[in-house]
Amino acid sequence: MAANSKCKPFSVNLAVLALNNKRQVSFGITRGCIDDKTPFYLINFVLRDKVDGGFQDRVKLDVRVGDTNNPKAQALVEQGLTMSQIEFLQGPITTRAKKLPPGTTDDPKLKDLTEKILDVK
Amino acid sequence: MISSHKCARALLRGRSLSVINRRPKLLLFGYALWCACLYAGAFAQVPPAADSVCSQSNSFYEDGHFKVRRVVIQTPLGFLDSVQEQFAAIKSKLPLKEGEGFTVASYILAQDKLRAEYGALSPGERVRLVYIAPELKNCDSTTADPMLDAVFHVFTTEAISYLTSIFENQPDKITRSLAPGAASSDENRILPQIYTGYNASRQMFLGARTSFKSNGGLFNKMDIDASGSSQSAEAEMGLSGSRDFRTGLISHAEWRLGYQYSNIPASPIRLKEATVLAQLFGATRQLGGNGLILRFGTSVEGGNRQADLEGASTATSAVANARHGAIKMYLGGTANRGKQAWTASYGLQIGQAGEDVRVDYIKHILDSAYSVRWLPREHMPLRLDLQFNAGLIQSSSGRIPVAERFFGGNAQEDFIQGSDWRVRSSPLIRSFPQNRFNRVGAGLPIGGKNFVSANITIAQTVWNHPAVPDDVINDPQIGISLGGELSGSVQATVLSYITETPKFKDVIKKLDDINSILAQVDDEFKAILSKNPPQDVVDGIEGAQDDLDDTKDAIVALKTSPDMGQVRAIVVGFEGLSPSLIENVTSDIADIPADSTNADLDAQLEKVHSDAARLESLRSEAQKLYKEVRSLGSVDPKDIKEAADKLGDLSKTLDEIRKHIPQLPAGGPEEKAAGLIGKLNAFVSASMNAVNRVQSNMNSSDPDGPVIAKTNLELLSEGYGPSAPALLSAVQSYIGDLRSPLAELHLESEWEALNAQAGQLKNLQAALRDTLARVPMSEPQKKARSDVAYTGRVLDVVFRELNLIAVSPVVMFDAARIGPKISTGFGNMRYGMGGGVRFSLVTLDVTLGYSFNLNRHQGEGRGAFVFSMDIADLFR
Repeated sequence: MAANSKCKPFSVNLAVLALNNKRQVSFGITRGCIDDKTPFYLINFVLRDKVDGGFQDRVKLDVRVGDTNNPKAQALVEQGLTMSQIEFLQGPITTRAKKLPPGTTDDPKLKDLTEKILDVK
Repeated sequence: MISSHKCARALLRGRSLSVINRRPKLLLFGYALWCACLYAGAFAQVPPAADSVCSQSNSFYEDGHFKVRRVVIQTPLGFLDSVQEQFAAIKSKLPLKEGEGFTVASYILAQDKLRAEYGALSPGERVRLVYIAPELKNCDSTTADPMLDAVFHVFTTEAISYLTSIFENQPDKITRSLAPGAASSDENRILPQIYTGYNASRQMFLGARTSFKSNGGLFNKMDIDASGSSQSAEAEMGLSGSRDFRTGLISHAEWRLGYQYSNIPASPIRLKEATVLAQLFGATRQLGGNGLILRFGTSVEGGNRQADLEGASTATSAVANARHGAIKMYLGGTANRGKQAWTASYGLQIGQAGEDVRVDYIKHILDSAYSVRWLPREHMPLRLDLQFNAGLIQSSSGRIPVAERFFGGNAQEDFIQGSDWRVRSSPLIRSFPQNRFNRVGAGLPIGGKNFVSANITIAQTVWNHPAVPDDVINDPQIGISLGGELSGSVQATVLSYITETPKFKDVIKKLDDINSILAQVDDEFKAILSKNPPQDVVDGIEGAQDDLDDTKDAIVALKTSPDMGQVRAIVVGFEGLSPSLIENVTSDIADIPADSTNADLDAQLEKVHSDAARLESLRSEAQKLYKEVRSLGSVDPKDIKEAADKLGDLSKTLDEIRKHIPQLPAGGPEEKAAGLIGKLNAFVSASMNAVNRVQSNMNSSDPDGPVIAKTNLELLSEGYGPSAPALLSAVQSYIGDLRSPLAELHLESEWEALNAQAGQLKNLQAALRDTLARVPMSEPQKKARSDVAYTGRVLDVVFRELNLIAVSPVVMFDAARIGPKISTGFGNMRYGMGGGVRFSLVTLDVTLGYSFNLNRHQGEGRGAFVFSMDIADLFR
């Protein structure tokens, strides 16, 4: 965000069904405004797998991005995920997510991995 | 005001109105009333008492202990019952509650909750995009408990899918197969619909249809449809099955067994048909760059054809009553380019009209159409539809059932009933009621043996309510965020296409080798543990076992869900964040201590360590293969250096623009200019951020650095269509828009300075584009760009063209002829011309009008009412 522009809240989400029709991945970003100059980012990842004919949520996770990461979060908004970040989502994050019981909403290791996505190269 | 909510519920929930059938039916007042309800409903939201946006920051309202008066969710289709029910369910889950204290955290989390709830894919959808814009309104600090309203504007592609799926005609499903699909699952449910309609031939009729779908089996769908009136009857029943193919030329195949009966007047005669049929249909994948899809089908039929000629004389070639047997085949195709679409089909019928098995007649059908949309103003499209049909029946025996001849009018017969693909097999002339364009001679209303018809329909939207409000479309954050999301989609799609390359199969084969070694190690672990080794050995093995199991599971999972991320996680890892899974295993194995007291155990452990060394060797080979295949998504920095070298000038130009942007306060007479300046600033900032990212990534040690640099160069210079424009194009556009507002404020010199920089920007952008056009792309990169370009086109339609409701006057012109003429005065070209109005609800078009018979013969009507209901295929 430009230094002199007011924080404007929004959310964008793109959800995609994989070509094998068995997995859905959703990745979204929310920007909230604590005050006019202080944005707050939420990065979200949802993995759903097809089980017995229907899609079930395996994990829904909300991760708060600290203020120091704002330029990187802003890059996510403006240029999207890089290939390495997508691989990180498909790799360690999905691997960890699949190990958790369905409906898990709080896993410290998964939270840590999702925050690390901004540093992936 | 009409209670639009109850009105819409009564009309939609019971589905008491006629929806699309293959033979369009004329409705009169029901749809006019329905459209009025929808119009009222679209604006019958609870009106805010004092519709003012709260001007303080969010933390101000939390510190001021404001309470939440209302939580309002607004979406273009909020008046629909199912959407309202969804609101109520979602609202109860929000952390922000009516009557409770407002907090910034609950407000932000409520916004994110809505993003998650509305962002979930429904069954059948492949892609869904959601945008949410929250705002606080009606802040009132004058009361004892200060109050505010929290309003969330929600825009999704789901509502459009839901609405069009209600009215979806089977023939439209394949043509829209690339668009977001139907919203709700209807498996294992009987879905009844009652309908009614009117046309001059059938008079008022009532009908019902139902379908039942199940999962699996050769035939998984049954349809029944029956309608009747005092003058007519129709019934149809079918059992069908289908399959979609992921690879290969054929993308879809469908098979059907059916029975059909109809008894329809073709004044002054009556046509009756009864047919049992077995059918097979298919469609290819998209071929080439213009969206060409080929469709084909065949039908084997038997039954009878009868014509009650009611005193009309007959020619010797017309058989009033006959057994019917036929083999039908068709081949057709569609192609799309931008807002233009072409379709063409050829149908061949080999028919029998008697007891003997022989060929009595051969029917040829040609059906072609062209449609195009122009957008002279946003959300006000001009549509042109052209259609040309022709038919010919050849018969050496002269035996052609009357019911198989060509009867024209304002409703067209389908060549093959039950197919998703429509091949129109009769002349369309809208100034005649259904089947009444049938005379080839005096006293011979028996249809023709040949025909041609040509039709033109023009419609221009004159009143509309856009599906996405202007303030959302014009919000710069939308364009910038969409550009980001689409860029990310390109990268994800590249990775996906890489997994379909032959080189990726080599990677999988290498992983299979690795898995074999892992299985050996697993067995060795079991053998060691069975011999009661020392505890430190047990601990070491157990530590390694988890990682070994994870690695084996990950390799097995790749068989059904191949993806590059898992491959990288297994053999490469993520520097500084996460080592590869195989490295975890070999590292764990290295930590297993030897046991010098037991030679046998030591030998087994030695074997495990030896296997670990082999694992590491295979990992290196797999890593090399991974890098080779991953390079299909990479960019050579030399290819974009020329573009990157221009960024110094670009950065200076953007700086100059920033310096010359006037600083104006919000509100007051400068409001329009201030608003545009805010948008300009947003795009200038985004452009500068993109420039910085290019420069930092060109010199980065990140192997993806050049790809990131190219992505940002594309965001700067190319974009993804008007909804996610090139950043530099948006900057120039807003500078252009500022001319008049700044002139009104006597700031012409500031504008001139900005405009000069905009000219520089244009040249730099053109240079960037030229350079990027020369950057070579791998096959996965080309396919990914093509796929995402389609998404950009869909968004373009949604943001710039799609209306929630629209009204368009319509002009129609038809020319048709049936032959051969048997007596003088017949067999000539006949003309019809008329007008009407089209009501559009999202992509559902309902057209009502009247067409005049221009060269009317004695005994013919002045004209005929026209009614049609179609799904506009905007998302080609």
